Amino acid sequence: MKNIALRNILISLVFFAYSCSADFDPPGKLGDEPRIMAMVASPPEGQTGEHVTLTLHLYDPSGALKTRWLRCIPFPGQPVTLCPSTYMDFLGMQTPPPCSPDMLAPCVVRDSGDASDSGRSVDTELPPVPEDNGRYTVYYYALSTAASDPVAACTGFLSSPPVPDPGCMVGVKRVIVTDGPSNYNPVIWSILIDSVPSGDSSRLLPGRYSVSPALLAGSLDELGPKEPVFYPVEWFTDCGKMSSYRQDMKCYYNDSGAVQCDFDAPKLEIPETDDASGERTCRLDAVMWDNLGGVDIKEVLIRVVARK
Amino acid sequence: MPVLIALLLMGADASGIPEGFTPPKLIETVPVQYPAQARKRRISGMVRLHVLIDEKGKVVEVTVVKSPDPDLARAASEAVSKFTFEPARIKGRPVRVKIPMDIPFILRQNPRSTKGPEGRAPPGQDSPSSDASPSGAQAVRDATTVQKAAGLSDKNSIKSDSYAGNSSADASGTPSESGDTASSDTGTSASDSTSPFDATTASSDTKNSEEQTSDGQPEEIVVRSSRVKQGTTTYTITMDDALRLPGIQGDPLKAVQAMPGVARSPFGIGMLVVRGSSPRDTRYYIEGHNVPLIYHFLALTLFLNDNFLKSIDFLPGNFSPEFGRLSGGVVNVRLKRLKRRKHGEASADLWGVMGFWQQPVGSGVMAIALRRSYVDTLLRGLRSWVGLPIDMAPFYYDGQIMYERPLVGGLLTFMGFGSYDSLQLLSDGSEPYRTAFGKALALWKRTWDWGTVTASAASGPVSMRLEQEDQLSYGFDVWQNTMRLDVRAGAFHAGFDGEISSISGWFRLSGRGGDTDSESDPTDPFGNKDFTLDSLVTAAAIHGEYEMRWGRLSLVPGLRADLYHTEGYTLINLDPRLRTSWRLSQKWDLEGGVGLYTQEPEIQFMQEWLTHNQDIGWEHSLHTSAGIKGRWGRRAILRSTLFYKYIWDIITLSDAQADDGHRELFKNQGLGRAYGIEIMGKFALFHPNVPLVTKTSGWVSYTLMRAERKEDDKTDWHVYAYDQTHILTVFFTADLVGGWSLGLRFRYTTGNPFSPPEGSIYSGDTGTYVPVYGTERFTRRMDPFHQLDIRVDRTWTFETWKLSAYLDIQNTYNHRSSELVIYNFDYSRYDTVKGMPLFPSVGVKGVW
Repeated sequence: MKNIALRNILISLVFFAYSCSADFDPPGKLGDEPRIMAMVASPPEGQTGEHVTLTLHLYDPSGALKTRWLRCIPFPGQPVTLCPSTYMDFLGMQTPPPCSPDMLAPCVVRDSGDASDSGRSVDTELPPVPEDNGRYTVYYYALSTAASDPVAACTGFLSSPPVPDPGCMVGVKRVIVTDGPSNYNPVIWSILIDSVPSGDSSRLLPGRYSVSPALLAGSLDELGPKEPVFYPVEWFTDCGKMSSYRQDMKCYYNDSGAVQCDFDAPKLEIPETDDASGERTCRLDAVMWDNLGGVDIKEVLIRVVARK
Repeated sequence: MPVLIALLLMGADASGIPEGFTPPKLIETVPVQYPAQARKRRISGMVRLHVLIDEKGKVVEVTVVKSPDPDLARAASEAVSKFTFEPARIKGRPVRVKIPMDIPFILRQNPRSTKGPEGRAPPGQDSPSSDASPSGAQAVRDATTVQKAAGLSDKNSIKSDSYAGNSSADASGTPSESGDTASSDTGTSASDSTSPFDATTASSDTKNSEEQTSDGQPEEIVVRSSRVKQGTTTYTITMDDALRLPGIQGDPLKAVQAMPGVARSPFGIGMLVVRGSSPRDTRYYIEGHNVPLIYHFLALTLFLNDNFLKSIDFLPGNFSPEFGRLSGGVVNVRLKRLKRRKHGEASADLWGVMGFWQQPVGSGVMAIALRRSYVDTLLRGLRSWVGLPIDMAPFYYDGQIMYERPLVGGLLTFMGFGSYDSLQLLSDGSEPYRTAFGKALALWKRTWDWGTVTASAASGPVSMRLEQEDQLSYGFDVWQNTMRLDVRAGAFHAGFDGEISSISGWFRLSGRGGDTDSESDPTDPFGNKDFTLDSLVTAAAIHGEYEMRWGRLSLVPGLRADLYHTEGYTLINLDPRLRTSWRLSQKWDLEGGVGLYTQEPEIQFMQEWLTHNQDIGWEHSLHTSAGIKGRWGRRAILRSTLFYKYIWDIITLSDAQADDGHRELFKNQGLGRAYGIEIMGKFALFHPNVPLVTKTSGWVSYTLMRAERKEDDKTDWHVYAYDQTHILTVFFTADLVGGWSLGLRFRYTTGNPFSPPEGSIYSGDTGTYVPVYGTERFTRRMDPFHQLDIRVDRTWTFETWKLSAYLDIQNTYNHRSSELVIYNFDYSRYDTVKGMPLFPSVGVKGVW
């Protein structure tokens, strides 16, 4: 272990020490390419027979993408089919150790999914628990493509081993089926721009603004009295450039017993508008994950007006 | 007809020794006087004599074979002619023998007259370890020394390594201090060595036993001192010149990375990919004891002060059974024998400062060294004052202490060493990464007439921690205890090695909430994680090998038996190994080897809660190699080795179902193979008639190879992640007049292969993408790496001390090589991280 650990750590640290950043578009910069912004299961956990709504939040500038959902259930003892995560174990050095378990779940498919589930949002009933262990995971795959039949167009992803198809975007969301208490999604009730809650059509001059999510404190159900919990927050925008597109929010109970979240608010740099009218509308999205599968996304539209 | 036995000392053929032969024993010596003229002219060096001893033990003839100066030859001859021996015998009958004998004449460095009569440094004065004795006569200290120098004691000692330690000349023809160049364990016949990098052969030095009968002369049997070597191919790096190689910042261990068969690791971070093996398959040893850490963070520098090092042996494969539980290569650091004199050093470079001191204490010698880095201060300054975007700063210190004294007829060496590394975040001063390492090593060695016994033990902790604020804690604590016993008797070498180690490791993710059920399930992506392991590892091995000779053919069969135990797993293994050599002529040797090499799984794979596989076991490999070596005296060596390595039972990820219903995460199912050719040529030449240049030396190392892997039945063979088709390193060093020297290093390697994902899947649970690879792996390569480094050294010699300084310019033509592939957020684009730009480094060192 020590050798592997040392090697991986060294490589990781060398990677950062050399400040290796290529000239890539940041993940949250919305341009001409479609992008998955979030996959939300509501609720993210549930009991057998309970209904769950799955929503794919897609940035689709062409408006041409169609989506089809599939469902995989890892079930020991069944043949391995149709489940891409089975073949994602060649992560090697590409994925740091703490992240690798993400897709390494045993993925044996009992049910390849209901082909009638289509659209950006589907309602599904959680299947029976296959084993009497009180807890298992269901994988929901969203296939999005401009082709008329997403399943046919994305067969490469579903083959064994999977071969990605050009123009086919695939996302997977897990839903926990549990007999115990369920988690629920965090709630971003607003996005603060320079500490001011933004409306749906906030008017802003070009400039530099700090942005942060405003949370519904009660929605942080995994927050315990002792340890802080770190919530990743990711930003998407076509308004301009963000100083950081993803960072953690550290939440905890402070000495007075209130929930407090520390967040190094990133800066949104909004350039002058080129629009002849002197005004344009852009979007800013904040996505937040908890650590139990809970997700929320909040979008605000910003009207950028030219300086006089 | 009387028998004349010529004992040529640096060879190794025992087959020519007549049955019942007892070599002459030195009974009485006289002091060897250093000729006044030679001393005045600062002439030093080794005088080689052939001494004919009659049946009464009297020296009847002394022939000068080689001498740097007639006065030295005369003085040596006069003294040796008065030596008295107990005659050699065959089955009890006294016989006449001719033996070679080296008499070293060593001067203390005299700052005012370091140049020879022609304004050049004469041979011998390059050595930084010249004798402290005011009189060169002490070069021959007593009868024992001479006896050992002559390889004399009895038949066994001739066959053993008792002489090699005193044939103190490197390939440059530069004699150095006899004690320090003693290489009794290195498998190196020092007089065959080619400084700074010696290549020896398992038994290529065992060579001929040429029976010569000349008219009217007694039958002459050439007997060479013999020992069982450590590997079919052994590259030995000696310190003196290695420290001046460009591009390695005075770190001799980094020279190993330029050896044949070693792929270049990204950023030069110290990983050794030897003949297509995984980096973890090659291990570092100090006197045969495994050390898990040997570099400071990012391989900035070796944690051992070079004053403690005698040499570094690099064995890329087909090594002797004394090394086991590994399937790659061996890097074995040899400790220097301290001299009984005061000696100090202080140095500073861009990274830090170092101090070294040694002096006699009681009947022994003690030395201590300390080092502390200040590169963190430098980086802080660059961040604060220049505004460079530097977020991290490594910080380290290390220390070593050594005490050496005679004990029970042998030599006891005790060494303690330790190091501490941390990586400091400049934003908040925290230390997310820390390693600490300490070890105590005791080594006792004694030579009898029949052979040598070496017993040693080492004990110490290793600790590593990686912590992010309240989120991630990852690390291990190991307390490793190892012990070795080696017995060498002539052509026989056997030993025992064992280990008792406690290992505790942990991986904790906190601050993620979740229930405790998932904390111990590695496949569950949610919630906190808390994995720990506590293991006690016990291992023991016995090994042995015996060298058999038939004329010019040598066969060395060997066997190693290993027992390894940790909770739930007991592994037993036998590895047979065979090495061979055939002396074609005085210049050329053929050599080869075949053997099994086995390695236990890393400890995390022997945790059933993780693998769900109780059948995890050894990883195996087959090493084969065949090569040829040519030698042209001490001026040049050329060797070429073909190798083929096959590896099986590599532990890889598995998706099979275990008996307990879980997924079997890991399994012994992977395969690997590597094959290629290694070529190494070295030279060292003096230039007495060339203006400005006194000596040139250099070497060329080239490897053409291919390494492949196959993870399981579902995958095809593909190139290994570290496969590099061409690996070329060229070193050239020129010693100039006036204390100057100039060094060049050029490297070229094929770019590492990589597998660009063919797509990715978005994970709705984390908002990140998981790459999806195609069926063909490592289909592309990074750009080739090539780089030229230049180093300039200057040494000023004063009355009682020396000062040296160097300027080392790495990547002089600023080629930004690709080091690492990085991808954009969804793996649809990739780019490469560029390596170090042109980088000058300076350092100074004072020696007194």
